[in-house]
Amino acid sequence: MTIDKARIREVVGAVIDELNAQWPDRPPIEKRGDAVLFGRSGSLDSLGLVHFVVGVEQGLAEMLGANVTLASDKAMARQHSPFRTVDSLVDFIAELLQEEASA
Amino acid sequence: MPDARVMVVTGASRGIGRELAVHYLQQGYVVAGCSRRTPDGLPEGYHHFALDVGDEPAVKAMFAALRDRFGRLDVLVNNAGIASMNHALLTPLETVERILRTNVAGTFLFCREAAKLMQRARWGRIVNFSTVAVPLKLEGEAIYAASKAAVESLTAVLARELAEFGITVNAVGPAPIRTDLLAGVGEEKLQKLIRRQAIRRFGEFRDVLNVVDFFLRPESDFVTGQVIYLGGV
Repeated sequence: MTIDKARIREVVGAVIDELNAQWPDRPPIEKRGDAVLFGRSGSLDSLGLVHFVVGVEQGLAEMLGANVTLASDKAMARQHSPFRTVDSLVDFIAELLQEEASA
Repeated sequence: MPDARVMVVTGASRGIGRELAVHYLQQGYVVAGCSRRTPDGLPEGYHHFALDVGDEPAVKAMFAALRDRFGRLDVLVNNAGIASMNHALLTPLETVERILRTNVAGTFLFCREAAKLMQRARWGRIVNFSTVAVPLKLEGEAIYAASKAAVESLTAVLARELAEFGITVNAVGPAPIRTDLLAGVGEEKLQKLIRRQAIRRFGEFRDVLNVVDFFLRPESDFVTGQVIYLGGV
C-alpha cells in the first residue's frame, strides 16, 4: 500500500489553520515543510504541542479513517523528534500508517 | 451529531456501573458502556463494548467507534474496578499487576481517550472512582487502596492538565456498598469498617448517584480535582 503524503500534509495543514484561527494573538504556525513546529525556535510551546498532536490525531481519524497514536514511546525515544518540523511529522505519520497497513 | 449528551460508563455490566447506565439512559443521555462480558437485559438505546479497560487497542477502537457514531462525548464515568482483599504478605504479583492494570491503567486510558474527544467542544466531565479504603488505610487492602490512591493523584493532576480544555475531573469515594466487589469480605470486617464512618450505614446507589450528579451539573464548572468520600470518612 502506498501512503499518500500529500493527504497527510493536507490534514496537518488543516490543523495548523484551525489552531491559527483559535490563537489570533500568537505568531502563526507556518505550514512550510521545513517550518519548525516544536523545539528551539519552534512555534509551539509544550501546551501548544498537546493541542496540535490531539488535533492531528483527530484529523487523521476523520479525514483518512486512520487511528494512530502519535505520542508513542517510539516517537519520544527518537534522537530527532518527529514533531520538529512539518516534514518530519508527515514522514513519521506516513511510517506509522505504513506499519499499520502491513500489520 | 446527536443533540442528546453522550456518556461513557465503564464497568457497566453490573453493580453501580449498570445502575448508572440505566439511570442516565432514563435521563435522556446516549449511554455507551463497557465491560469484559456483554450484559443481558440492558435497555434499548444502550451501546455496549465488550473489552478489558486495560487493553489499549480495544479502548482506542471503542473511542474511534464513538467518534464515528456520535461525534461527541460529554461525560465519562470511570467506574470499572477490581479488588483483592488479602494480607500483603499473601498477595501474588499477578494480583498486583491485574489490579493496577484495571484500576490505574484502565482509568488513565479512558481519561486520555475521552479527553481527546471532549476537547473539541471545550467541555467535558470526568468522574473517577476512588474508595474510603484510601483515607481509612484499611488492612488487607494494600494493593486496592494503593491503586485507588493512584486514581486520586491522576484525578488531581488531570484536573489541572484538562482545565485548559474545559474538562473537569473529579472522583467519588464510596463507603462500602453491597455489590459483588464486597462479596469476599466478612460481615465482621464490614461492620468494623462502618463503625469508622461518621454516618454508620452501608452506602447505597443513590448516595453515589447524588455525588456524580453534583459533578455533572452545569453549575459545577468551577469544581475540579476533588474527591468526595461518602459516609463521613
